[in-house]
Amino acid sequence: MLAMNNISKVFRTDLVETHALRDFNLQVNEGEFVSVTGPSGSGKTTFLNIAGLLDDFSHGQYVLDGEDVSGLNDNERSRIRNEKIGFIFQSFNLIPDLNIRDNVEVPLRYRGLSANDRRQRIEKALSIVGLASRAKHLPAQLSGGQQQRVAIARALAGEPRLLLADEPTGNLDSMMARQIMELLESIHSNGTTIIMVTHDAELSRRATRNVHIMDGQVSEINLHEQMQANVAQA
Amino acid sequence: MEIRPILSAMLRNKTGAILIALQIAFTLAVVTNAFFIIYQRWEKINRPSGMDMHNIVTSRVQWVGQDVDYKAEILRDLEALKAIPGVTHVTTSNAIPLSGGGSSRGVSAERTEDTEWTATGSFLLTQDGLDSLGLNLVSGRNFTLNDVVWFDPEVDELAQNVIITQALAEHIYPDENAVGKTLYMNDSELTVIGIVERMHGSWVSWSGLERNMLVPMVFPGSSISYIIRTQPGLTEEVRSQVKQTLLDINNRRVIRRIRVLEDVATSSYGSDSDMMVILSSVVCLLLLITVVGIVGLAAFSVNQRTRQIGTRRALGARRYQILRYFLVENWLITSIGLTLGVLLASAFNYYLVVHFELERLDWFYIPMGMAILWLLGLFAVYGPARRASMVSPAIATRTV
Repeated sequence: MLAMNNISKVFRTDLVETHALRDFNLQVNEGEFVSVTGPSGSGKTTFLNIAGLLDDFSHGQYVLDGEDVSGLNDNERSRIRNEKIGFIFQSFNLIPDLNIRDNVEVPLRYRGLSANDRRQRIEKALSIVGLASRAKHLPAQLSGGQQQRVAIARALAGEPRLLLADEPTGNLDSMMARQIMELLESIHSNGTTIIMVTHDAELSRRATRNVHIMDGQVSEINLHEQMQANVAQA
Repeated sequence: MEIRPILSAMLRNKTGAILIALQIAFTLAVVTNAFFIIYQRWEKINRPSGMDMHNIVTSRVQWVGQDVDYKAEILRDLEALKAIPGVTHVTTSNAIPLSGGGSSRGVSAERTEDTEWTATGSFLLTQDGLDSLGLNLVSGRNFTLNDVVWFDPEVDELAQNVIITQALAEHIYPDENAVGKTLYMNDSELTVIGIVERMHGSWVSWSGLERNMLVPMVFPGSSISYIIRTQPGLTEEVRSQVKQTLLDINNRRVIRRIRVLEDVATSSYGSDSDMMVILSSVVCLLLLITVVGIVGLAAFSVNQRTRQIGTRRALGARRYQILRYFLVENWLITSIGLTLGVLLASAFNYYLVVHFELERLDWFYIPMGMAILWLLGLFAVYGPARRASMVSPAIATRTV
């Protein structure tokens, strides 16, 4: 699904040159649920931005869903974001002036789908996250957990091949966080590839694989192997 | 097109949009009426006068002292002026056209107790009058030397023949050929011997500006005007010689207002020109304020929604789609403002018609004003919209 080979990202100012990612290599297979952890400033967000085609990288090669996206122009990158990637942001990033239905519709409009197709997808996505009855509500009228579920519905409506979640529970209490996590697991069980950046070790353990980033490089842990090792030791 | 979500988002943040829409409405109301007034004034200033405006020099002579043989002096002046190189024709006149000073008489095609006299500009000229003014005789004949009467109070003889303008002829003798007809003026009976196509009289704002009567007559008195026609392009040379030429004949007199007829007209149309300048300035200022308002609202909106724009970009919006979003949003605000503006412009025009006797606004001024404001709105919002389209989608993942 995703292959990054020797990706580097350098931020330059007149005085400073910062290597956010250096010789970053990662492969994520289709259907995986990967958690990405690491301390602040390790390069998690930079990785997520590059994985989601939100930002360029300085060197290396990035293949997404079999397509080398390294040299694509802005329009092509926008198209791939719209058709193949779903985003879930820490702060939900709902548009406050639009109701829930219109928020979910935003990426579908950019895809140029017919009104009928959009309506069906919106209804389906909202029913998956359990908010079909709140379609006319504004984001401000919903709790944080509900808002994040709307954001998930918005991501799901596009039927993405890859779901990128940036600290999806970072702004939620533990109960809400658990509900969101269960929702993500449910989505993953239907075959969607998920990459989730998180600080929460417990959430990280619920993924099938954990990628730890340190100083812009990967330090990977296979959770299943680790669990099996732990069981054998015991 | 995403008009519905844009409209519903706008309605939830309506204060700024309403203020700009009201400003656009007010601007349309003022701009259309101002354009209309400006165009009317422009038309007024530029309407054809019927005279050779650029090649006529005028002057006023005032004799000092008594025992002056005015007729002899005038005849000498006419000879001397005609001798100036570049001069083609010279006439005396009781008044200078378009100068704001002149004489008006009541005339009619009949004389009864119920006669309605038509106010008419009256110009007393010599046999060279028509050529001196560059008038176009369209019917009948020109004056001859025999037609000209030098008024003598002891004889009290008045001219018998007149030439009138087409406008006066159509007013007095509608659907008839005026040549040969009798024209009544108080107790006098005059015969119309010719018709000139057009001639503007003395007062530029008078509704009877084009109704004029040319009388072959000279009133020798202490003051008189000369109208001097020059060859094309020699007006300034002639003008510079007029004063000295006249003073060389008799320096016991005052030679005043040696001016080109074009300058006389410019001076008389001064208030109209001033009005055009003032209204143009108001229009420019209002349009500028409106543009600044639109730019300000759009820039504020872009700044406030940077994260939202980044999110839209992250969700797949192309740059042109972000650009289009802001252009459409502005177009909607402008359209709402213009809809209100049409009503306001009509109401404003009605007020001007009722209170200032302005003509009714021609229909096309409103669509023209709307088109200008639409284009101006798009022009104003393009900069902020383009800036919005350049927002990076990576903004969406920033937490601060």
